[in-house]
Amino acid sequence: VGPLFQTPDEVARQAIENDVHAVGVSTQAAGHKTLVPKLIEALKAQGGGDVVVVCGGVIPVQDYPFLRERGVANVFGPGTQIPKAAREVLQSIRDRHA
Amino acid sequence: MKPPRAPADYVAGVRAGDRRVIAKTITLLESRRADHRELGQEVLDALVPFTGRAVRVGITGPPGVGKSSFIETLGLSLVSAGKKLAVLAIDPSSPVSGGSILGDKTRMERLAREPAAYIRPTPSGGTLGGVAHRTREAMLVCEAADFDVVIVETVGVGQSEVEVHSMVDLFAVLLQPGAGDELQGIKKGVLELADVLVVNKADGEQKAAAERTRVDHAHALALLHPGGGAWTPRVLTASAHTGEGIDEFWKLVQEHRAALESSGELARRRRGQARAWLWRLLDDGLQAAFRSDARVAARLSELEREVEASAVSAPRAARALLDLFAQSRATRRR
Repeated sequence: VGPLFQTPDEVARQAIENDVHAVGVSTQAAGHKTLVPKLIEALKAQGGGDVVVVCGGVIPVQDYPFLRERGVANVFGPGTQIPKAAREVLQSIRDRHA
Repeated sequence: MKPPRAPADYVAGVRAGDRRVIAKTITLLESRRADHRELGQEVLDALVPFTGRAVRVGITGPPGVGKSSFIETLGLSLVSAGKKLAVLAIDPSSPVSGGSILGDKTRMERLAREPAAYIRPTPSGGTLGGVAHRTREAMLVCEAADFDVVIVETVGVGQSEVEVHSMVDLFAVLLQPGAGDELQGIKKGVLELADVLVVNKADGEQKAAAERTRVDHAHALALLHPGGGAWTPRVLTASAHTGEGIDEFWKLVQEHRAALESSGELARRRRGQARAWLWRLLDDGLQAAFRSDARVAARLSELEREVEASAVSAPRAARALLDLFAQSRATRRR
């Protein structure tokens, strides 16, 4: 759990300080195409390349490939089933640590 | 980049102040996996010579008293004075789901952004003794990483503050203004442990009430502590909101440290804490060995039932079980 408004660098730092397995980005404001890649870069720069990044919220389907190419493990749009999403996130974490 | 794997890598990373390695090391020590714990212990052993230099402060208080805000304001002031600060927050786990919210980062938003501050919530995970061990270990890791101040935060609603008191140099209890009734709420025992009482939220309309609360508690403390020790507990008012009283609090922390150092009490206290920790670990280890012993296990539930039914007295049952335990130890040695 993090504060509501943070820069990608701050998110990356807190993810690392708390040694998390995954960061979930909830995005509603169309910033995902710039902020999410920046977050992934920041994680790599701070030595957290093994942290899984997933996204959810209001993201147009045509942006999914863009996000995946940049290292987002899973994207969950409106109407996602929560148990299914949870399983997929766990699988992504397992894959990353295999 | 893969995280380091060898104990020496962890030790070097912690000593260099690498956040990622500090976080990984604390995770190892928190882990319930035997191999993680073993590796963690090995790292901790190597770090122990570098520990003991930080100022260890425990902060507790009832929910809603403003602990996180107080720590944030204090922390920002320490960081601006050039200190490196670690905050270890014990987060109560839900007894139902076992989960924790670990929400401290949302409550210490500004401090969380400071590069010289490291905030780590620890889920209490059900067992209080367990938290105490893990928090103490995390504190040692932070000290080895050259943090100047380590603050241990706990919610003041139970046994956890006794545990925290047993690992810090100065123990501060936060109160609300007008908290006359709250004296009932927090146990008197917790007040007895306090080196400093802080009446928080002394701002705006509550300022006068806070001052009255301060005076009330000063009287109460005078009765609790007739004096003569190296340190007489003090009460002050503060406001995390306006920042008033925060510097005074830190001055008291330094005064307290000077008093304890010059009287030799600090070293004595830390020796006592180290010995008490050893005994806690011995108690836990002995109990685990006792419970996992085959001969004991064969008789344990039966004797428990007989004690419940008053068929056998508890001392007699205990003696019988301890004899069984001693026997199986003796046969194993042969």
